[in-house]
Amino acid sequence: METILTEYLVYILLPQVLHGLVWGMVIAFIALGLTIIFGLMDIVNFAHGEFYMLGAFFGYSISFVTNNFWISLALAAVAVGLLGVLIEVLMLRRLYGRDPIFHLLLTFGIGMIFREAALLIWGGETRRVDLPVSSTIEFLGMMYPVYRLAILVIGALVLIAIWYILAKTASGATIRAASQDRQMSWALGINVPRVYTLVFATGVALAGFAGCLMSPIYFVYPTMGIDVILRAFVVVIVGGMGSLLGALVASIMIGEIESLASLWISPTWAETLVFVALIITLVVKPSGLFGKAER
Amino acid sequence: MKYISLLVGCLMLVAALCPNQGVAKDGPIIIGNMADFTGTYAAMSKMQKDAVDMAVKEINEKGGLLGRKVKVIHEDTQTSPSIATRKIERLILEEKADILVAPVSSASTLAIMPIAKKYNKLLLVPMSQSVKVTGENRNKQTFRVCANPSITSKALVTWMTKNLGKKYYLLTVDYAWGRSTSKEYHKLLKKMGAEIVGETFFPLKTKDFAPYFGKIKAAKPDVLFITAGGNDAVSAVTQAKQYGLTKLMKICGDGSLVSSDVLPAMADAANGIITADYYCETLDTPEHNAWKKEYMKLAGAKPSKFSVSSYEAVMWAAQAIKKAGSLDTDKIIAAMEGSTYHGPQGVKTMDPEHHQTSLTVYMIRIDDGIQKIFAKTN
Repeated sequence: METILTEYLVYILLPQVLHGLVWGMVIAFIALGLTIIFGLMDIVNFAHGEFYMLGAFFGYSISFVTNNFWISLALAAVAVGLLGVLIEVLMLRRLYGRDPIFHLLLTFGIGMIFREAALLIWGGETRRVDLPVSSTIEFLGMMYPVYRLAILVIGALVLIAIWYILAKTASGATIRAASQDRQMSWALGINVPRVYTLVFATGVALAGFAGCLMSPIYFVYPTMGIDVILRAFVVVIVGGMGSLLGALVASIMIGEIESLASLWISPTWAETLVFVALIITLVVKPSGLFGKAER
Repeated sequence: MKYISLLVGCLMLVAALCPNQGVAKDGPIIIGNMADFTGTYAAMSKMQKDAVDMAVKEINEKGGLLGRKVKVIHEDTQTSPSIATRKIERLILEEKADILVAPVSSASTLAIMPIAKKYNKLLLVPMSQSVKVTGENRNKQTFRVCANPSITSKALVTWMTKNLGKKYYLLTVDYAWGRSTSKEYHKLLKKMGAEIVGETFFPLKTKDFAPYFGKIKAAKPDVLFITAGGNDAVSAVTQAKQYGLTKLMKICGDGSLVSSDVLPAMADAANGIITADYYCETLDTPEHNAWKKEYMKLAGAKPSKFSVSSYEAVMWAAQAIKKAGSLDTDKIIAAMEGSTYHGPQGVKTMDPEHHQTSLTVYMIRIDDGIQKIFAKTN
């Protein structure tokens, strides 16, 4: 009896928990950018999934030149960030202070343009990226690909870095100040438009980073953004709009729910559980797990 | 003067309201090709397009059909039944398509079949494999040129149960095709005395199969039988190798699992997989070699079963139109039913009742990333 139980724990439950963590980490990357942009700029970025997609395509194309996945990963994130700067300076900036519906329409349109552009440039076929680390490790008789563990580690490092910048540095304080009171920050000499540009660029660069990081596992294709963005939105709402910790906790939670539930129920149903979690949150605590109550 | 301009105006209005039917009769014959160009099945849908283009080119070079040129219009059905139903109506009503080719997704094909029936248009099915297409949902207008799992399963199950063991785990895509394939294999495996130790239905477009592997390993099957195509197949097969499943059990699957549209992406992960299918890219006959050479010249890639059946679907319909001497759908249907067609793979016959093509089934093993035939049944 005992051996059956340990076998179940080690061979079935443990890998499943690990999958949930990796999956949650990916959603967290996307959701973090989304929630930072919303928290500071009050913009719901509907093109966020497309920045994720572009990150993957940029990484894919750049890797032909560099022949190194890790360099391409960094360059792809930077490229998506620069694109974010362009979008913010040329388009979003003109709409601040207007009805949120304008941001919605604009970002929705940008997303559509990016998708169609990707289809024109790279074509509809799915591209495959080789795993940069193809080895697997074995512990307790269970095999696990090293690359997925690397995603976990990289993810944790990036998250700690973001938290550190926001909470402990001067520029983090500037960002928090600008998000709390735009006009007062202006009056105190903070260059608010520049903060906005930087935050938007960082948020979408995170999504691009995630897209490229996941490309060896999830492929690269023009509609890949749509496949993940819904979950990212769910995470942002469950975690509380604008809350970083909330996004992180909700991501891991959603990742684990999906992963563990697929052990006992059909995976198709496991996917719907995510939305059950969303509905429960909206009914019980509409502001989300870590969200501030209605202003 | 005023009256004349009014009259001219009225005439112009009438002319604008009436579609130019006289012109349409001399214009090209339109083939409406629906394909899932974006999504999981993008690679095989590109093959569908290349093969249909090849057939149309060949027909036109030989002087067209009924003295008219043939033109193909491609529509992207995006692996979605709701989009497919919109596109087929567009093809019929706006493009005035004479013949229609169905996309790969069985769910989409089953959704558009009633529409083809409503407008009484010939619908060719070169790729969808759900048994229902030529089974309970069949209609007069729909003809299938590819196999369905009730054709391929017999050979494969007989061979598997004799050579690989009696314990099976089914990993199946969760929509019309997967459901109907699973049903077929459940029936046959039980008949051959095999045991099904577990089954997981995964959603179409699944990227990550790792969450299902723990359960599969714990069930300790002799054979993991995968029903998946396109990107799903690539993910399932490569990840099964990454997680060491190939060391513990044999992997088999319906033909689409390791067809030539996905083999290059799988690289060495596909080696050793066994499947049964109605086409094998390395089939060595003079007819097939000549066709393959021509196809590779046009498409720049190796053909798959999806290429051959898409090509054959159009050529077969062209043959029927010639025989009928008319574009009248009822006459074309009569010419299709019970007819034989001599294509790259040899002679095939169209069953007059179910509208299902009879096919030779090859047992295929993947060696060094290439399909090898090791047995053949009729």
